[in-house]
Amino acid sequence: MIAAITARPFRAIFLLALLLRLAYGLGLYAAAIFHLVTHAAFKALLFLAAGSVNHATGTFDMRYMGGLRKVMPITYILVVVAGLSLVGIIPLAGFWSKDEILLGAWNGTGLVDTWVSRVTFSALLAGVIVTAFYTIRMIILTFHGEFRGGIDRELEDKAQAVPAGASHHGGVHLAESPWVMVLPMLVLGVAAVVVGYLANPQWTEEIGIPRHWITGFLGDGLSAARGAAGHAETLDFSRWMAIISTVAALSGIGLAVLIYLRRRDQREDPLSKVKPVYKLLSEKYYMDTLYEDVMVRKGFYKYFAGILDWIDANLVDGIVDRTGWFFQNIGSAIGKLQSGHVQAYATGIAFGVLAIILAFLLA
Amino acid sequence: MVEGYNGLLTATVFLPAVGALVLLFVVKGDRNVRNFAVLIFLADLVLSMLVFGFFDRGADADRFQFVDRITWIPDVGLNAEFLLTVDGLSAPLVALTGLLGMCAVLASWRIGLRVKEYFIWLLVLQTAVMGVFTSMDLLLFFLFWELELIPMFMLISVWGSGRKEYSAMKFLIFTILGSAFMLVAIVAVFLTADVGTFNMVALLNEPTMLTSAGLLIPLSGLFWLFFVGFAIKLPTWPVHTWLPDAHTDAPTAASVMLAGVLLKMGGYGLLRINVGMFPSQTDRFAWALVTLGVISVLYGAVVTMRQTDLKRLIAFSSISHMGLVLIGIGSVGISQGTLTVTGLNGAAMQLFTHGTVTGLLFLAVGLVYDKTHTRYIPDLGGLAGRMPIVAVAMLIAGFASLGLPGLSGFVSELLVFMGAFQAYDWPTVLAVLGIVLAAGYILWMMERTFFGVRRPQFDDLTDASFVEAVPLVLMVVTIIGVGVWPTLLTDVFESGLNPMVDVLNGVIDP
Repeated sequence: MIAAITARPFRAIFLLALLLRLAYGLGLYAAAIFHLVTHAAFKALLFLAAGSVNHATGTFDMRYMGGLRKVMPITYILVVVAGLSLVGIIPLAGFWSKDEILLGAWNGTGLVDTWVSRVTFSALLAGVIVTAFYTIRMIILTFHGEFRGGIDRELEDKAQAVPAGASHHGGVHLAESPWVMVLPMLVLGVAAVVVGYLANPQWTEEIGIPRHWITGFLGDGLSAARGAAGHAETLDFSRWMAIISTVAALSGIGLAVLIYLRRRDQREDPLSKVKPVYKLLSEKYYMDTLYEDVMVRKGFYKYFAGILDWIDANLVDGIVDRTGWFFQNIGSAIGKLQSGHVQAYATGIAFGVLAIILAFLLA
Repeated sequence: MVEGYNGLLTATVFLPAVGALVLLFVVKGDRNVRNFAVLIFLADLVLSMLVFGFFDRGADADRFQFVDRITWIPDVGLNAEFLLTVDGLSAPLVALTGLLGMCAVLASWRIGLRVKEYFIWLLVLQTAVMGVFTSMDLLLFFLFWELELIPMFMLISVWGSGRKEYSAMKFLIFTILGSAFMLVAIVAVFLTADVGTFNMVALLNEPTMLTSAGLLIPLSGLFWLFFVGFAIKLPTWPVHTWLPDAHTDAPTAASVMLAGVLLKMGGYGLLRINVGMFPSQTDRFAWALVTLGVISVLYGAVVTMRQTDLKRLIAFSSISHMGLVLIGIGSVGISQGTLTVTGLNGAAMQLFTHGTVTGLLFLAVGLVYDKTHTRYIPDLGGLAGRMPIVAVAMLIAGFASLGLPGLSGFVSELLVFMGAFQAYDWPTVLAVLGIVLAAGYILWMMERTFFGVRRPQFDDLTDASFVEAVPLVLMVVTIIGVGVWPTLLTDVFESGLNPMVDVLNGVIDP
């Protein structure tokens, strides 16, 4: 997730966040599934919004975006909603599910030692801050400031005729996306707001809807399937936890605003000033390099497969070819014995007789 | 039981030969030659389908059906017979030969050089291969086995490309070397005191004949002698190197027959003779078979990834897939419990499915080469836009090759792994890795060839014509059909393999 701070392509941020979310199941099965549900809402919305932005600018690289809130206000508002839901701001959907998990981590689940879940809690809280930071960074870079050129500028800078891996691109037309694209986003936007509370209402027992009806339901099903002591009990709302997580989120937001909003007209990412850290993060800890370049392209393809191929062509097949060569030429080699040269024949006979006499003598 | 004269198999085997004779003496003109050849192959396809279709799969059916038996070398101490018959193992392979023969002849539509000779050789080849799968007399089996070498040699060396003479000679000498070992074993079997016959049916029904005293060569020796002959044909690592050259330099139809049918002769021989007649030895050496199989699968797949010639890539992938046959046979070395027919069924299924899949791959590649005049993958790209039919055929074949469920390749691979896992767990796991590698090279090959940016010189390509598309459709239907309804074949194979499994279960110590 830390790597998401520096990710430039618009989408990469979301993908990296996704990875993190999956780690949230600490034995808090019900809460984890609940979070998956709310996450579906706001993350799907963010992806659709990425597509919408790409439709307008032709690129996914945030360095070439900017100022889009004036030309695509609906997308902007929806992204803000989804982003805040992702960060976990009350009363949006993401808050409820995130809070449930934070609470569970703090309290301990009985499946792991308390210190483990406390450590996880701190990590989660740190995650909240970082998530807030990169989400707001993303919003500012994309929607605030001045427009920085889109795909046209990007291709110019990279001196390419077409984007890598594609044969054409959409071009730059700065306007809100057509309703075909906006409508699904609106639906998801509504979900990103209400799903959290609707699924896990806190103060509705008076009107007959049990508290935690969905987490209870999910948890029970899971516990039954596992037959084990999962955390099927659901947790009461804790004001303290809400305050703590909100403070964390706001601090992340504040940091991002501080760094990015004030410099929103610059092209260079301010973080790139911290060169070594920035490099490590933007290369995603070099994991991609490790997998694609080192392990596959070089280790496997060039060395392992290359060596086997050489062995096959030269050694295994070499034996075949050498055998063929041998039998092809042995005829002519032996044929040289039939030289017609009488003196050679006589010499041969002489040595042969000698050998036979010797054999008899020694036997 | 194995008596009488039915006639259907004689017709299926010898119709192409008769056709070749008629072509030789009667038919004149390239167009007539072509049409006549297609007719003969079509008739042979119909006959082979009759054999497969009317094969009785019932529980109380005879094991060997459509018997054609004539004592044709009266007892000069030789006791050889003309005996053609099929059982559950060979009936589908007869059908396969019919199918692929049809595809091969249609793929030869554009041959322009020495047309009459070409089709004569193709017809003789068809007779020979049909004969291998149907003969149940060791001498006759050997005769047909050797017979297929000459037409293939001629087809490659005259109508091939690249280093065709070298490849043809390599193929011929390498394979004949294997047959030499086989001949020694056949003669030794015959001369064994209690045997005195070439009759494979008898040997299959009573393998104990061979375990008695009076063996000229010990049983394990016989097993390995036969094995060498079949292993070269299959082919197995390390005697596989004739295959890439032969496949790459052969003309399309010859490649289809070579990869689709001739390789299956090796597998068939292993199942029929090594497993059927030497069950105790198969059990004893199953570990060696599995080892060679796993090496073939992985080594073949890894080397395939380095290939840049389309045909060579597919040829090497054949080595990899044929390794699975050995692994399936290796399931015989079951470490505990009773042997089930699963692994052997998988091996037999792999013979059929790989025949169709690789046949389709070579057909499609042949079309690509005909139209673009290059097989060098880095020079290709974006062809799907101009040749959608060929592209789809190649895609289906490719997916079947990498074992996508729903297509026939998956069925045979699954059966092989299920069967072999009981006997050899971690080697089977290694072999499954081969599927991952197969996905690697197949998807890479398809992406680089058919998708991506198209070069301007390919902007005027034409798609497959009707004649060219017929074999593609034929193969696609078979691949999808068997993939979705494998019982079509597994039932038949099982009826032929179950007797062998019974013998094996009597022989293997639990």
